[in-house]
Amino acid sequence: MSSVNFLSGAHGRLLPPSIPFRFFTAAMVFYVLFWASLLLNAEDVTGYMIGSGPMLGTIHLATLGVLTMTVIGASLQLLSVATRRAFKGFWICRLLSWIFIPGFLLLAGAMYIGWFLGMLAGALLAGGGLLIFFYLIIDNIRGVRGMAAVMAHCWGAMLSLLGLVVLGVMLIIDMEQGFMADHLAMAVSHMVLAVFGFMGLLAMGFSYILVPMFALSPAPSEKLGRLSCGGMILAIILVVAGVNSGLEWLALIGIFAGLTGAGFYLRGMTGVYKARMKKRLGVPFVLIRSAWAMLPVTLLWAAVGQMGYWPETGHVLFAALAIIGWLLTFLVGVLQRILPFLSSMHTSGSGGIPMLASSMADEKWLRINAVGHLGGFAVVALGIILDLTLIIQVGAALGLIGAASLLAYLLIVVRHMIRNRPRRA
Amino acid sequence: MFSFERQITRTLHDEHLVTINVLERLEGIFQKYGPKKTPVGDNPEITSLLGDVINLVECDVKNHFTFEEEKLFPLLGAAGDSPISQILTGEHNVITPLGGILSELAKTARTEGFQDASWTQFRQSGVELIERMISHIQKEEMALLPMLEDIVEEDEDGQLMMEYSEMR
Repeated sequence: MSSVNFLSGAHGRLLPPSIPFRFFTAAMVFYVLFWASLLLNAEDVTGYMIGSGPMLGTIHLATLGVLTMTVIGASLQLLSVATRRAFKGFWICRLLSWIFIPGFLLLAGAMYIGWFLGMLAGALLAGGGLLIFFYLIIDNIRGVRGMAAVMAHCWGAMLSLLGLVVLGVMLIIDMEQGFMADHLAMAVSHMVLAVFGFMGLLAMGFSYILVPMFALSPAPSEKLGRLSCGGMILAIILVVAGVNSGLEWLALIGIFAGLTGAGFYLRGMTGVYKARMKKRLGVPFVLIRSAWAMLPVTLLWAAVGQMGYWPETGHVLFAALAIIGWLLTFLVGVLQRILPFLSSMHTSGSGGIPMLASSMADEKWLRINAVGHLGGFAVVALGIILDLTLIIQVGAALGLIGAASLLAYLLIVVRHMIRNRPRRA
Repeated sequence: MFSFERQITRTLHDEHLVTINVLERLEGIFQKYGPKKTPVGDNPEITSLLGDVINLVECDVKNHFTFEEEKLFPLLGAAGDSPISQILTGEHNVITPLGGILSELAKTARTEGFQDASWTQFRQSGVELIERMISHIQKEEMALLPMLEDIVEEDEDGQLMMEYSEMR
């Protein structure tokens, strides 16, 4: 992959910091709420399959609240720099936040208490916000030359987003109307499109830009990027088709296509990591590398389930691996790295000297976050395997401490940023 | 690794590798000796590193920065892309005096060893220099060098190499 020379002129394509940081701040608040909700509802975790209630709300706190919120904030900033195309109007980005964040709050709250009209209204609002996001991204990447693999990931992610929004609204309506022939199959499809389509493809696509930048390393080849994207998109199509047609062998082939795609992705990332100029990459890369390890584990576990060998809590473990182990861990690692980077680009200390990222907030918060998050995930997973509520509660408590640390770090960084904004002449 | 076709970009890239190596060794020392753990005198590892830091700051980085500002940034400006060179020049103006402070502290420490106060100051300056230099190198590797690859012709490459060799 040719070097993404996007840092040239990057400063001129920075969004006003309030735009990405409102999404990051919301994401970190929902990150705390996710672990808190998991702690409060630990006894319902292993028994959950489908339907509204606290568990559905908890899952969406992670997927829409943390992951999607983070991805929106990062995408809006990263893409405008990478494609060298500024967004046409910052007001659209602000409008997106005014619709999506309250819409999601309503949706998650309504899911929590099983309030149908609230869920529908929240889904339509949040879905509307996501469609604005869809428009912003497509408008930005349309006709971009170069970065073919990254663009392919973006296109795949955006098409998945359309699918999951439509399915999400239909699933809520079906809870009342019962018109779907197979609600569970549709819910699984919604999850696959969300986790591996929209969020997974965006995370993987942006890896090809962010990881080489953070590690000071050459980007992987375009060929690897296209193969990984192709594998993942084929996987999503085959799994969704297999799940909805009852052809279990088709879904299994899809999972192996996903493993192949993931394999190409990890080969690229491993190459980047090994070729890095800077050897010490710190706590963020402990999280990122842990997430990389979890991606094939998640897919292998999916294959085990598809072949019929899951224990009773196998589906719950799969959700934990995919959402917490792979995606949340990866995005938290990325956030740990980009928060100080972005804020230092927006701040100057006395005399106009750019502020050091490390002087904005103590990095001990990041260490606590990493230990809490990874420890929390491991213990929650153990609790699911053993079907023991107390262990899940311990894991959730660890995760909550970790999440609170990252929120504290973010708030301290934001306070520094506000105090040290460059004064306009 | 990064692959650069021009000699000048390869040379600058190789210098970045040397710089990162010294900075990572410095970072390792700072991790080993915290702010309240002043290293005792006569530590060969630290003595050797102090020599490398002095050399890095007073020769390599100084020449590297001067060459970039005098010969390379004007090329970017002529090609219509001056924002990155403005950012990099601004960072040079911060890094250069910081490196000077570190170098002076290193020279004193080489002969007299570190005391608590001088170690604290060396550590603070060193941590800041590491962070600023790594960020600076990141920008040069991801932006400056690829742009130079696009705009520097073969004959110009030879000329730049000669000028840089004379400077060093």
